[in-house]
Amino acid sequence: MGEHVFWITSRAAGVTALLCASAAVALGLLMGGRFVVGRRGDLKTLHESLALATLGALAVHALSLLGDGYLSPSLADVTIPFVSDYHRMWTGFGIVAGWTLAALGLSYYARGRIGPARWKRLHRFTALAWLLGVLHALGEGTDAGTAWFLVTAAAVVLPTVALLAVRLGGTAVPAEQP
Amino acid sequence: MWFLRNCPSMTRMPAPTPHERLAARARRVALLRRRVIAVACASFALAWAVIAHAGSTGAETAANASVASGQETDSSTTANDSGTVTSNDDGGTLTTAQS
Repeated sequence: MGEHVFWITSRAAGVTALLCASAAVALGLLMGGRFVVGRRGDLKTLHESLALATLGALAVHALSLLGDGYLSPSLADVTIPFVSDYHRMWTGFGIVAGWTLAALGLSYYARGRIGPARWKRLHRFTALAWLLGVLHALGEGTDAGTAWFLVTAAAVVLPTVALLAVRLGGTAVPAEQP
Repeated sequence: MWFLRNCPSMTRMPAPTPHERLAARARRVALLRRRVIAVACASFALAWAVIAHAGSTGAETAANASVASGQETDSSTTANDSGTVTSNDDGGTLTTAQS
């Protein structure tokens, strides 16, 4: 067990990141698609908190791998896409998704400089980065073949994919203003 | 949504001042953030426990696979350039590939 602590920690953090990111994206789609009325301030806080929790979990997911004695990745392996020899494509997808989520998420705090309209357009790419992260989890994840992971992932990913499909299809019904 | 239940804003106060409204908003935001952190930590702990309990470390599985494929190697074993090892004995064929 002892020698696998970092490996297990990384996987658990990856699962947490997937859960938090899925919830954050789903909330963002709900708010942007005008599916919800009232308490938008609270939902926005929830969305922001989940996004920050995702970034924290992603940092643990990547950095804890540095302590794994079996894989022994370098800092470049876990931070630069397509450098690691371990599942090069899936790892690359994960790193691209992680950096994109970080950049798009943290850009919220610079939206004054970016411009609210431009930031809003950019922020939509978060869903794409999240999808890339889901591909990384399913393609490379050590737990991707286990029932508990598949059930958990399906519970958060499928509703979010459905919301995304509705949003892309443009069938969101504008909520009535109070 | 259970996250939003019992937040300070639910308490009706007669004509709160702007300062009180801001303070109530700050309390509600802090409460929501604490709840998200708590849920994220609980998810992490639960995932950690499930993974540790399941016992599959990935690395162990890969190591065992390489040992197992090594044990299958004998005089009738052939390997090609793509890394596929084929063993043929007793009329049965076993093929393993390193991923």
